[in-house]
Amino acid sequence: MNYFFQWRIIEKYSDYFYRGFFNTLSISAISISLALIFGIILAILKRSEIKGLSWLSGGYINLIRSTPLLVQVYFVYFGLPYININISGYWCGVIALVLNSGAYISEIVRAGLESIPNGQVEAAQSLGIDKRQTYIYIILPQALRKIIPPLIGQFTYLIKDSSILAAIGIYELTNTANVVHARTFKPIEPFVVALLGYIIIVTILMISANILKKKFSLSGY
Amino acid sequence: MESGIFDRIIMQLVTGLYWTLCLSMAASILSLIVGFVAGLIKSIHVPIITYVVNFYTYIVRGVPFLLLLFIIYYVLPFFNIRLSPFIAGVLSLVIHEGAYMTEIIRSGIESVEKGQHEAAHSLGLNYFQKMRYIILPQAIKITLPPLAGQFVLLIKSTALISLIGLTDLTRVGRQLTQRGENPFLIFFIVGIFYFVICYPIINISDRLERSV
Amino acid sequence: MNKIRVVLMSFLIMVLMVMSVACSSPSNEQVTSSKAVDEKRILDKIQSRGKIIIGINASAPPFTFRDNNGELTGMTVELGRLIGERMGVEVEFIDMDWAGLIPSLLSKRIDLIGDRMSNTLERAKSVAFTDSYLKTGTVAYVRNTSSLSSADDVRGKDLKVGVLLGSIQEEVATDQLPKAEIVPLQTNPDIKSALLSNRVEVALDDEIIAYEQVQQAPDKLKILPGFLVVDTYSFAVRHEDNDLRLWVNLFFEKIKREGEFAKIYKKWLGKEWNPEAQKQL
Repeated sequence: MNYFFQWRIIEKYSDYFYRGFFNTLSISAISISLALIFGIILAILKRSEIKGLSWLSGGYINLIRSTPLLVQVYFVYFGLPYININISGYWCGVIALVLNSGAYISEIVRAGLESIPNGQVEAAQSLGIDKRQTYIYIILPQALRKIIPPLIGQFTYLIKDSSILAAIGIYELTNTANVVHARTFKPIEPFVVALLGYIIIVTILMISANILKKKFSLSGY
Repeated sequence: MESGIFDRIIMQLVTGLYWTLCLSMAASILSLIVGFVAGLIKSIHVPIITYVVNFYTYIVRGVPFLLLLFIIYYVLPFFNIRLSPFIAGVLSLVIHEGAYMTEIIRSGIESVEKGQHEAAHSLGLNYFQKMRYIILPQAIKITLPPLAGQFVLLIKSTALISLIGLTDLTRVGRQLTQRGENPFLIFFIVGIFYFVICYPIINISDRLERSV
Repeated sequence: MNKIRVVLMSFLIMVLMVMSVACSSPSNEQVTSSKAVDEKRILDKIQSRGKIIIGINASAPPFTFRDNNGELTGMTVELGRLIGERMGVEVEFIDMDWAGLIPSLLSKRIDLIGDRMSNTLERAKSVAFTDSYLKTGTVAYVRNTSSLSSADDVRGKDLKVGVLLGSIQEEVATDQLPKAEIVPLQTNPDIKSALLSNRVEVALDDEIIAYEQVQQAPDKLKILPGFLVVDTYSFAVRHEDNDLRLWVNLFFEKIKREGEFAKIYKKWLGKEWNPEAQKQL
């Protein structure tokens, strides 16, 4: 192998890597929170009795599922300035991720809501509990418990998808490795660091998912 | 003038579409083979090889596809393996999607209820006969929807190969915007191309899922 | 528990792999070229291949860009085609991100970087530059509404500065504008777009490229007078391919003497080629 290792470039660019690591996490965390809200709204719209709303949100979800995330990112990043909305690249990335993940989350939420047996709702009604309270005290807690595992799965996907923001120059972990590679002409060192970074993040997530799964799957709903 | 430019946009995008389709087809077939072999290995629990397969799926699924692509494209040359963007793209896709297909196929095989295995055994079928006539056909029916979903993910992932220079649909779109074309228009058209390819597959997959 | 075992084993194997690779570095310090094919001179290889592979970054008019049909064109593209013609081989251009040019050269994907590359001492540690063919400089350009009035104004301020990733403007910005926040972008038009969309306040680029970019929105952008740094452009090859470097140097000498270069210069840069002013001594 014709390669001269220079691991000290990692030291030299260490604050780049810290920033990249931190950015990946912060972008993912912000995006998943916003996407959760967006996803819940979408799910409610899709289940709504108004055919138009249901149709629109369904169409939106299908659109997101049938187009690559990269194209969606480009659409937001290049499209917004074209109509004179000037937001920083970071927030364009977050918006694209939220728009994307929101669609997938809405499907998860919808599946969770639909899995609550109708019997529960009827029982609640016969007990005289009104619709809003049914939702808040009976449906939502059970649904939330059901959707937490797939939600963590979605969070994992989001963390990996955040790497796509490298295409618009955001300094997350993958792009950081790329930039260090561009400056030092040495690919192995930075990419190995990025590799380890992602594996660490995903492993921590997986372990917490396992813990949460045990905590939440109490009485097999 | 207007429609002339429009034609040129579409024509150039179509040359990109050609690469997207080539990538998708080559990678789909190869990753399916990889997934099938590895999934089978995992479900049989072959001693050491299963560990290797587990390691492979764990690492590959924990790492972003883009990073894997960069590693294959930028690192391998130092091992004297210089791949064109197309081949590097296919290889990365096969490695990445193959891992997911492994899991799908494995769970498909394992989800065929035990009763079937026992019934086959009591009928005197050996392992290969059992797999070929009873287990695998049922497993295939179960795995079809998630596999179709995975194919769609594969097609969407081909867009990332544009970032190592392959002139696929996405990259041509990007080049057109650099030339000053309206990005809304360009990426809208690009989106339509992908939609036309992916949505039918998603639709079929959803229907299959509901009928299973 | 099974999953935890997989995780731990994966970590162990990963760590072992990384350590074994890291610990083998001392022995890799020697350049190994034991394969017979690597010992062939690059010019021989190009001749037997029948084609020379030139790396470019095609998004910077007037040097290297694509016309309305998507065809490659520009000053350096024309020079590259001329190289192929004079060498008697075909030319294959590989269009890539600017930051990928040197890595591609080093990993032998391309034979020659045939684009507007500044021959800096830092880069010269990794690649071998041909003699320079053009003298230019880095300028700053801003929106018309900006309060900055000259290149000197840009120094010492904490502004967002857009540069091309992997370019010397990135180096210049890091050295001369310590308080600035440097925003590396993928292509030259992206820098202009970032400026127009308020993502950056100042854009740094080569003077000639900046001029072309500003021309696309002359009512919104202006170039600040003054160079931040003077620059000379060369082509580049790998250190071990000295024969190719000597050939390209001779090529430039010939076309300058025969008038081809002056024609190409005038065609793409719109001014007469003045060898005296361009003297890089």
